[in-house]
Amino acid sequence: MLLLATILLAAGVLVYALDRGGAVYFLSFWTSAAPPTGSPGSLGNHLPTFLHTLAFILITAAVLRPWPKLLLPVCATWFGIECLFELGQMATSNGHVAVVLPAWFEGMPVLEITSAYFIRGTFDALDVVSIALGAIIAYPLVRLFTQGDRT
Amino acid sequence: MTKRSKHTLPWRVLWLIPVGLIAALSIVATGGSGGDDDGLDDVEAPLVILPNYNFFLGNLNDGALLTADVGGEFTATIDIDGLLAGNLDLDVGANNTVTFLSYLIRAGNSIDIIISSPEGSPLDGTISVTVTSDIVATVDEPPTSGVFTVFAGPPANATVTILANGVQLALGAGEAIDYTWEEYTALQEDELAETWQRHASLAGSALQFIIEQFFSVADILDDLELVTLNNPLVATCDMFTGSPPEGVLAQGQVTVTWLGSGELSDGDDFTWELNNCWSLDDEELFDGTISLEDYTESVDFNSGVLFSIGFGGLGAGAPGGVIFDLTFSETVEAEGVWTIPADGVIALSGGFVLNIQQP
Repeated sequence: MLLLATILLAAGVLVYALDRGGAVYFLSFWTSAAPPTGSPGSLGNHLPTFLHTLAFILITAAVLRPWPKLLLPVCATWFGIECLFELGQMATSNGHVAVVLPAWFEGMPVLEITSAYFIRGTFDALDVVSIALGAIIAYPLVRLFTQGDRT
Repeated sequence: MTKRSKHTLPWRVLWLIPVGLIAALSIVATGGSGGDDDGLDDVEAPLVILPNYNFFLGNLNDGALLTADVGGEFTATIDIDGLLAGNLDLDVGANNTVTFLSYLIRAGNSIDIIISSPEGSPLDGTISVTVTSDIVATVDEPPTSGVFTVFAGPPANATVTILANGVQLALGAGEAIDYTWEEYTALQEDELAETWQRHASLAGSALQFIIEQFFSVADILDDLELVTLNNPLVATCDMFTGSPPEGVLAQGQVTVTWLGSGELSDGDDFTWELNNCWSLDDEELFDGTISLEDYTESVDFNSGVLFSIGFGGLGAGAPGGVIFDLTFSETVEAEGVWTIPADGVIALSGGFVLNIQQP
């Protein structure tokens, strides 16, 4: 499951690299000398969200293995966490989120763009659908991996 | 020898803590670029200013709310709930000279206006204003559409619906009444008007006031680079067309001083001093200082597009912002002599954090 999760996350990174290049914070080394070379199309807007949810459910399930009764709460929890980040980008809530972020985030790698993530990011209902799909597909997938486990 | 129950989660569950952190960080890291502390230093391409930006205003993090003392008769304090968010259309001319064209205040924004008068007034108290439909306006013109609600206590919310040439006021489900802009603005001083109508009028004026202050600061953002090259930058204001008020210069001046050195960079401060600075268009006299603290600017890593610019940080506890210590005085002319009415002086203190960001 960890291997599959790693592959899925790598696929997500690849989609970002091809679709958005250096416009993404963690790919800022992707300079204009190497512009986006291809685009997965509109799927590229939502595929990483789907893969992220699926991958982290797989990782969590691998850590918790072999506790199959926790699988449903794990899927639900990751659905909730991912949705909270998405909802934080809604125009009516992003300002409220941004003002409660601590000042020490400024200048800290990754954390420094947290306010930009919420303020600049746009809520997309299709991302919520992608998250839901990731969580739903993760459930039978993990069951498949763990069907031989004894608890 | 102890035997762990099969229902007990093992220590490896602790791995879920870094897993969760990595998940959260990886979500944030997929966001757009920005927050580059090096700002312009790393950007070789010419700065590109887009025709449309979002803007955000927030309370100063030291708690000093924007407060206007109106002629000593009452004070109005504006408390922004979270951030006041909107959108700007602008025109970019030669040398990246920016002209603001129109703006929008997003539905969902809310502010509180705290009214206090030394002798007590029916208007005293807290007025909660919530924008329920985007407010749209051309810069320096009254808005043409939008809706906001005003609540200052029972029995009900007042609804202010902006029309093409005025507003429509309604209390709760009551009948809506149309007003011209002049009538609507005059309501706040009309002691014969219902208190809810006066509150609704004050709410509109407060929204207009904070937007005017935002644009007064936003207008000089494209001059800041010039200030660093000609520090301090001094300009004369309009000259009085007749005799100035007693003790006031016939022609005052404005001085913008950059308190940094080297190249303009994040964290720099400016002071904007107005000395007997008269505006012929507004027939207003300005005196005092606007402190512009903790300049922030970031540029997209690759495209050279201006990502954000402003004063002060939006996060809790972040320093800086736009801080007023300023008086606006109404001036009135009679037979070639200008005077300042005693109740025509507004003293402004406190301020706000200002940030303009790429949509």
